Amino acid sequence: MLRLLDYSVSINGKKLLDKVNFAINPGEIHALLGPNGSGKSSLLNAIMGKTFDVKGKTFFNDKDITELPPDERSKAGIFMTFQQPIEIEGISNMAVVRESVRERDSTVKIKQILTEFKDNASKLELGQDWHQRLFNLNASGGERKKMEILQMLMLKPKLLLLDEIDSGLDVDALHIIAELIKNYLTSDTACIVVSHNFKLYDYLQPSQVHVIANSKLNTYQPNMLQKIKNEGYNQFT
Amino acid sequence: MKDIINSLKDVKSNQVYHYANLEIFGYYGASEQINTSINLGNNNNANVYIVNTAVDFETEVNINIKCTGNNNSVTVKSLNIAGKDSSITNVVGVTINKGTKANSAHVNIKNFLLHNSSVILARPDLYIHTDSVECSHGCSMGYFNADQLFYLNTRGIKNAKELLLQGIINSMIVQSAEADKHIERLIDVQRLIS
Repeated sequence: MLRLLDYSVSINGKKLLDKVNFAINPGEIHALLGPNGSGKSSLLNAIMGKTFDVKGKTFFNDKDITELPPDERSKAGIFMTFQQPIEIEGISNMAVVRESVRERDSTVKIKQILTEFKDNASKLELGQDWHQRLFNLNASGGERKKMEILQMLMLKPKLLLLDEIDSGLDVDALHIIAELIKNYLTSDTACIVVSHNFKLYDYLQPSQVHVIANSKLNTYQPNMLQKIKNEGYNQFT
Repeated sequence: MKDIINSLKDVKSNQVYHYANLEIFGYYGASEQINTSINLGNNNNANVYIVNTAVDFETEVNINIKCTGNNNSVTVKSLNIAGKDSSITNVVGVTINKGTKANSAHVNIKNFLLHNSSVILARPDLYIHTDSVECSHGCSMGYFNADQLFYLNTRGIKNAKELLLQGIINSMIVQSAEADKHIERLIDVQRLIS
């Protein structure tokens, strides 16, 4: 589904990734780990099309998307949850979702979007008035993360890039979100998960584990998760 | 009961208000030359909302509020959005006279320059001649937040600037349902962005 070839990412002259190769296929869940500042979020942002100093090629469903801007990548089926979702004044949660959905299909009726929005908000135990509230304004960390998942459910992407979707969530909220992600994933979708919380990996059961260390991406079997949990990242340096 | 004034041009400069609850709107999307004075005597509450949008023209909207008595509460929120080849001047002055008591004045001006060719001169002027007063002022000049733009782009929204700008305008006009009636005076967001 996604392939990165000879992929390098630098930020402010610092090379975070140096000519790495990566592939994920439909039906797969991969864990992406590494110490703080190793470049996990930067890699996800780069896949999403953020304008870093990026070299190499990106293929999505065998199409070269290297030059595609973020909105086109989104419409192609890539979705990223943000570690720290932004807030927007003067625009409601529903308005952002409505615009996002109608960018994909302008014929969808607003009433239909609202019905689906409310249904998903209910699954996430967000308030009855969530659609009217301003986008993430005065929202708790947990509500913001739930809003990320709500957007995922509404936009129905093929590839999920989950950047610390579980940070700031209490145990009940983590359970709700993890179950929704698990139920969403099928043999047609794929998911790259970044988390410092091994509980989320227990829920999602990744089939491959990647560790960023010394600007390289090393790939391991799932049992590496337990080894990292026990021994940390020193073993990679 | 509120005294609603739908344009700064409709304010009677020679009138001194007492015990009034004023809600004053100044929404402009055309070339204007407005210099309005509001005279507050005693026990007034005055909320002033100004939005100036400009493309291809110069406009000047100034307001001067004088508190000559006691127990007045003044809030001015102003938003200036300058598109291509435009110039906006917006000076908001508040004078608190000597010997007056228990007045408060809060002035906030937000400005958005949307083009290299646009110019904004905005200034909150507070002239305080007494110690018995509570005042604040702010004036910010901004462009679009890059993180917000990227976020909306990642949701497939190509015209993220339009949505953000609509939000900035909405955040001013939701202050009062009455304000909705005057939105049509503003230049539409698409034209501002272009």
